[in-house]
Amino acid sequence: MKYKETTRSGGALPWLFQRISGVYLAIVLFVHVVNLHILIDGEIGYAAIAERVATPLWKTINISFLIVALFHGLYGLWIVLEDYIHIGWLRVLIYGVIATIALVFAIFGTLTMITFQYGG
Amino acid sequence: MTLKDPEAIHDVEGVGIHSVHRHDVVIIGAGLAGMRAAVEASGEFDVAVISKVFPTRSHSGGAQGGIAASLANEEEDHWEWHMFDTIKGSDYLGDQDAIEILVKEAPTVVREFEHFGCPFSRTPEGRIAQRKFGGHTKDFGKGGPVLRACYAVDRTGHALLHTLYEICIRNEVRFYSEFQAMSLIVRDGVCRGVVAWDIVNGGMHVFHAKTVMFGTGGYGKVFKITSNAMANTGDGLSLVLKAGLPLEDMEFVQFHPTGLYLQGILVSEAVRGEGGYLINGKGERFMEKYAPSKMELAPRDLVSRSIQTEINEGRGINGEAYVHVDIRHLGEEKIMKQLPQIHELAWKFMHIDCIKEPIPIQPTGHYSMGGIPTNIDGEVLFDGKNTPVKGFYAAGECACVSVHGGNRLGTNSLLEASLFGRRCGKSIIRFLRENRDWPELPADSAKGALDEVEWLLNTDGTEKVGEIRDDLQVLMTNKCGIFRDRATLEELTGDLKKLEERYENIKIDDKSEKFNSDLLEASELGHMIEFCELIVAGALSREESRGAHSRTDFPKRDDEKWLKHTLAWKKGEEIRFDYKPVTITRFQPQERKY
Amino acid sequence: MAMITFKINRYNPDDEKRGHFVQEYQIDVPKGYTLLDCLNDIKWKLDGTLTYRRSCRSGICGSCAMTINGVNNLACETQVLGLNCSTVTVEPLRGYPVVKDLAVSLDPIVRGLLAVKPYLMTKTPPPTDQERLQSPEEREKLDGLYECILCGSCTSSCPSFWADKEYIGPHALLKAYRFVADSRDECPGEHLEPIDDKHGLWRCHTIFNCVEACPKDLNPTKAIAELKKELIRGKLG
Repeated sequence: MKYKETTRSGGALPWLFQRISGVYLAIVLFVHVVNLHILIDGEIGYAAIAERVATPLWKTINISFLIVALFHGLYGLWIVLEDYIHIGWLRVLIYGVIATIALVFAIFGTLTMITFQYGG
Repeated sequence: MTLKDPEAIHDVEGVGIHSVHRHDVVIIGAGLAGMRAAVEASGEFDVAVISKVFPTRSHSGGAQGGIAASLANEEEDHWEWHMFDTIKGSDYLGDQDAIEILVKEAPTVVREFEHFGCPFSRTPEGRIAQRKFGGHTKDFGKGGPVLRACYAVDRTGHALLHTLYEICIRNEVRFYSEFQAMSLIVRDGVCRGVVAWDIVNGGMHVFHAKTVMFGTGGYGKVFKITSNAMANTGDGLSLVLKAGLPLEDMEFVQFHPTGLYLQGILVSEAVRGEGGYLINGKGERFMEKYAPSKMELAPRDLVSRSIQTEINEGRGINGEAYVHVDIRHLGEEKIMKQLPQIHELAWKFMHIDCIKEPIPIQPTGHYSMGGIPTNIDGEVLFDGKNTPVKGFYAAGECACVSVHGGNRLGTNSLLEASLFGRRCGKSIIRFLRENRDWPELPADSAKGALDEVEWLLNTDGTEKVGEIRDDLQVLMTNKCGIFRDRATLEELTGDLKKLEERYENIKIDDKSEKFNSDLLEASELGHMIEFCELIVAGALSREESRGAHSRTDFPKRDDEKWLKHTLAWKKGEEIRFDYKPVTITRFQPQERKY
Repeated sequence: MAMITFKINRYNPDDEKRGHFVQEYQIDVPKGYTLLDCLNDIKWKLDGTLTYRRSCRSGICGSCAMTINGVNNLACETQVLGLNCSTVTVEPLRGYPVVKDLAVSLDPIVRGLLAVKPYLMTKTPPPTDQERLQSPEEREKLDGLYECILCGSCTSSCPSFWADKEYIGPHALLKAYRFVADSRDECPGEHLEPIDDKHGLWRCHTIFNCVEACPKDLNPTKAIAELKKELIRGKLG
């Protein structure tokens, strides 16, 4: 008397990942805001930001933020699509387009981060 | 589902081949009795349960206070005490052999419910919690009230009913939900099945069975003020009458002392069991006058009569037709922990916060002690000599074993329904092990039911079902209620004849087949008028006051003439009576005082 | 006493051409009248074809759940004058197939319920002539769970169910947790396994509509959260 034998796909680990990634994103955002608006000395300008972003620690943080945010958002979007689009191929198509665009931006973003240099 | 018998399905005139079903056991009614029997028999045989409402909507779920068993979890108790209380409560009309079984097997039945998963409330030691209830006492009535009612907060019936439904699911019992039984197929003293109407899709179905069990419940709906559900129209009783079988002790109808004023909705006896007071318009705890030792925890018949007397003599609240049940002194914590549903009901239906205000109540039509005569194994009997109908069983409120006699004690009904339901299941198993063959199904089995539906759909009279039913309820409440006398009962006999004539001249609005509740309500009204005549005739002929049957013109119990059960048949217009003796084993009748 | 207009969504399966339509009835409503009393008045005095389920009229059987002024509730527990409006709209519960007028198909409710193996499961045989022991504290965990009357209000109010008709529904999940939370149940995995599914537990997006819709003031969302925790705990060992 199993509920639906054929479409079983679990969902526990993605659900857990969404919670953990959500928490991670919230923490990074908080650190970002504190860093940017409270701890920073003097004017917020290109120089101040660029100097920080160029450090290996912030490069790592920003790249991880980018990837985690994309996974979090894309999985959330997949759930929404599952809720509202019931035609299988259409759902995959829409999702495919969105995911491709996201992936392209992810690659550009990561490359930008890795190659970014300032000063010295 | 594979058939357990190789021979082909029988043809029934007027019913399609796909509407003829076969099961070893067909149970009508998915309340405590029906589903308990289903749980028992489904281990070995193919069981189907037919119910006119979805199983968990059955009215067993309306029971609140508890189920009696001398578990002695909270204090000393013995089945002998329980037996005495039940017999005395019945005003000595209960059959003592059946009562002995009831009280002896009660602990087993209650513990089985726990094993099934029922969420009983618990004592600090983790055992099933028990509370006081009216008429249940220590030491053969000599001590005070005893903690005997096992409970799940104040939703005991709900908890038991859902637990049974769950176990039925586990046992893969086949449910025909929302099928209304229309006739019983009994020929030559052998029960062969039932005919039922598919409510949702329309259409008549025939259920061919080796055994049929009725757990069709009560008929509170014949009264204006009643605690009963709208489904409680006593269909089963009328089906039995129409099959030429008798009904027993129909004059005994219990009025519950505490129904919400004007609504009749049940305010559990647990309210008094937990310590609530009954207060009249003069602010007196008037039970002092009627039952000085047991006060509010006297049996229901006595408390209802006391309340009605206060009201009749102008001592209702502000002279109106109600008194108060007051639980304010129990305090918010106890009320919310032990009686949350009562708090909810009083608030939702009367806009009364029972923590701060007393609840207005009046007696309400509640339970039928009489019904389909059965023996202790649930076999239905068709004469005064205890001859059983082959393959036909009944248990619960629709049946009369009789363990309740003239008046039922609170918490004994859940017990009786489940205990005799279980016994039915066991005796069905014994029967089926010995009787492997299918009884022959007559080709005209569905004729009566088909004719009835056709007539209801096509009759073109002027009377409305709702109006006739309303008149019936008012008449039964006013003239065959708590107090009765010859003159009004005779009047009522004439009134019922007129209602019957009006019924012949009805017209229903809904002519469709699918989910036609108009049609089914009309059919139910026909049933109600049918057996109401028996209630009234029984009340008229029993010239004594015993238990819930209180004749103002015969105020004394008359053991010499009336220590016997009434059996009544109805053939056309004619009602025939027979009587059978009460079984007395351990306790001789004595004066009943509380 | 006030004159109230009832706008009732109707549908007759024998008249597909007409489909769903709204019919208005006006009746005098005395103080204390519930919506069920009003529907009965309409059915018994004005129009016998009006169809709805009803039985206990005291909020325990769960038959008469419907959408009243856009909110799911039991008709028998709704005081009409308490709604404080002269027009009351009554619709069948949303999300379920309509059978006739205000009666909906119960199939989705039963299907979800059956899926969770809604019965106590044990491995050790019960003690003979004794009940299983359960402390009052353990028993208290079942409060807010065992009271469900299977009226279907919660699942009918759930946007996840509207979007996904295969979603098992909050009523079934509440029932699953009723057994998972029971100290006597020795096989919680048996109740959890079938709901670990994209049409099961994970379809709940914590919208809380079910909490608002429940006429018995139960909290399916909380039960679902507990089930999620249980399942995750199981997965992480």
